[in-house]
Amino acid sequence: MSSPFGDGDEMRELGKWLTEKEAERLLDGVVPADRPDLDPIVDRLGSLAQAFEASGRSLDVRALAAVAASETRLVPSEKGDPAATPASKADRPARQVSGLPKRRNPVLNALTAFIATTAGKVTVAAALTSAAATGGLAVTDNLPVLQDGNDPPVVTVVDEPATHDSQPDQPDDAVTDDADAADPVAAVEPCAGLEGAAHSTCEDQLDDHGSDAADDSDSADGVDDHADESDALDDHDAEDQADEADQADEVDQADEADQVDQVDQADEVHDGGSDVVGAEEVDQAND
Amino acid sequence: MIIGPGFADVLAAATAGGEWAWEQLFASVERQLRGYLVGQGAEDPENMAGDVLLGAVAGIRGFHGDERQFRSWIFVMAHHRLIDERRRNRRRDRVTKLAPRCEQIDDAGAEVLARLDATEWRERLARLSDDQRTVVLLRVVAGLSTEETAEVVGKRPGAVRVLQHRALGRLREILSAEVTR
Repeated sequence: MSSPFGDGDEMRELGKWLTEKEAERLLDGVVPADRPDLDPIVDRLGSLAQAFEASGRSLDVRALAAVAASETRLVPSEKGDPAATPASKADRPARQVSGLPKRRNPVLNALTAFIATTAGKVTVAAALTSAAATGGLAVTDNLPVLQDGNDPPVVTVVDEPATHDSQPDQPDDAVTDDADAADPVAAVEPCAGLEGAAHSTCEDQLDDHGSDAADDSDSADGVDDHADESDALDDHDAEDQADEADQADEVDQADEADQVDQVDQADEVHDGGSDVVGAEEVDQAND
Repeated sequence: MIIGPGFADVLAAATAGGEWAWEQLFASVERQLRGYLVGQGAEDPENMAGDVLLGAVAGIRGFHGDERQFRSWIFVMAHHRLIDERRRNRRRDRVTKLAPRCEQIDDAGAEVLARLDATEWRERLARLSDDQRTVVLLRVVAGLSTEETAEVVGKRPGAVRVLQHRALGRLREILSAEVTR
C-alpha cells in the first residue's frame, strides 16, 4: 500500500482521510460510528499504551509514599506561602508590615483635635510666642545682667529663710566610728575588691584602729597583695626609720596574732623564700 | 487507577503527610508516567519517574485542583525533566536514540511480548517529529486531553490538534507500510 498523501498538499489529503474532530475522538479511544475503517488504528494505539506501560520495572509505590510522607511532615511550607498565622484575630488585628498604623495613639488624636479648634490654636500660638521671646533673648545674648555683678542677698529675696537642719540626722551606720571617717584609706578602699589574705587583712585593719602607721602599712598590704613581699620589706624599713616609741606603741596596739595571721596568709598566697624572710623580719620587728 | 470523587480528601491527607494518601496518588499516575518516559526514550525511565513523583512532594502545598489537573501537573514535571535530560545529553554530544534499548529480556510470557511490542513502537515513534511523538504519547499513554497536553508542552490547543492530526496521518503511513512488507 502506497502513501495516500502527496508531499505538496499533505494537510488537504490528511483532511480527506481524517478530520481534526475524528482525530481527537480517535486519540480518546473512541471510533466514530461512520468510520469503521479506523478500527485497526484504534487497536494499534491501544497496544501502544499497553506496550509502554508494561515494559520496565514497576515503581515501588509504597516505598515512595513512605519517603513522601516523611518529607511532607518535614517541609513546613512551600516557598512563597504565607507564614502560619493564628486562626483568630480576637486578640488584636495583625500588625501591619508597612504603612501607617490603623490605630493612632489616643493621646495624639486628642491633641490633634484640640489643635484643630480655635482655642487650641490660640493656646499654641501663645505658647510659641512666649517660647520665642525668651528663647530669642537667650539666642541674642540679651538676658538680664546684674548691674553690680553680685547676687542679691538672700534676705532681699526671701524674708525669712527656711529653717532646715544644717546637719540632718545621719544614719547610725554613717557615724559609727570617727576613725572610719578620719581614715581615708579605710573609708575609700573597699574590701570587696580584695582577695584572699588581703581581704582578711583589711577586715582586721578595720577592727583594729590602733596606730596610723600600722594602718597605713597594713592598708597598703591589703590593697595590693601582689606587693606583699616588698611591702613587708618596706614596712621593716619604715619601722627602722620611725621612732622607737612609735614602734612600741604600734606593736602594743596592734594585735600580734592578727599580724602573724596576716603575714601567714600572705605567705600562703605568695610562695617564695622572700616571703618567709619578710615574715621573719616582721616577727623580729614585733619582738 | 482512578481515585475518583474522593480525590480532594486524598490530596488533603497527602498534604498533611498521610502515607496511604501518597500511595494512592502515586499509584494513580505511576503506570502512565513510566510508560510516557519509556516512550520518550528516557535513559532511566524508572528512576526519572521516581524523581518526578518525589518532586511532587515539594510542591504539593502549592497545588490546587482536581485529579485530572493533578495528573497534568505530574506530566508537566516529567516533560521538563525529559527536556533537561536531552539538553544534558546534547552537551555531552550523546545522542539519545529512540532505537531499541538493549534490555535484558529475562521475563517470560506477556511481558516479553510487551517489550517486543514496545520496541516496535519506539521504532515507529522515532519516525515522528519530537512534538508529534510527545503529543501522541501524552494523549494515548498518559491519557491527557488536548487542553492538558497543550499545557504540558506549552502550546495552544489548536497547535496540539494540528500536531496530533499530522501524527496520526504519519502513523497511518508507517502502519500501512508495515502491512505491505
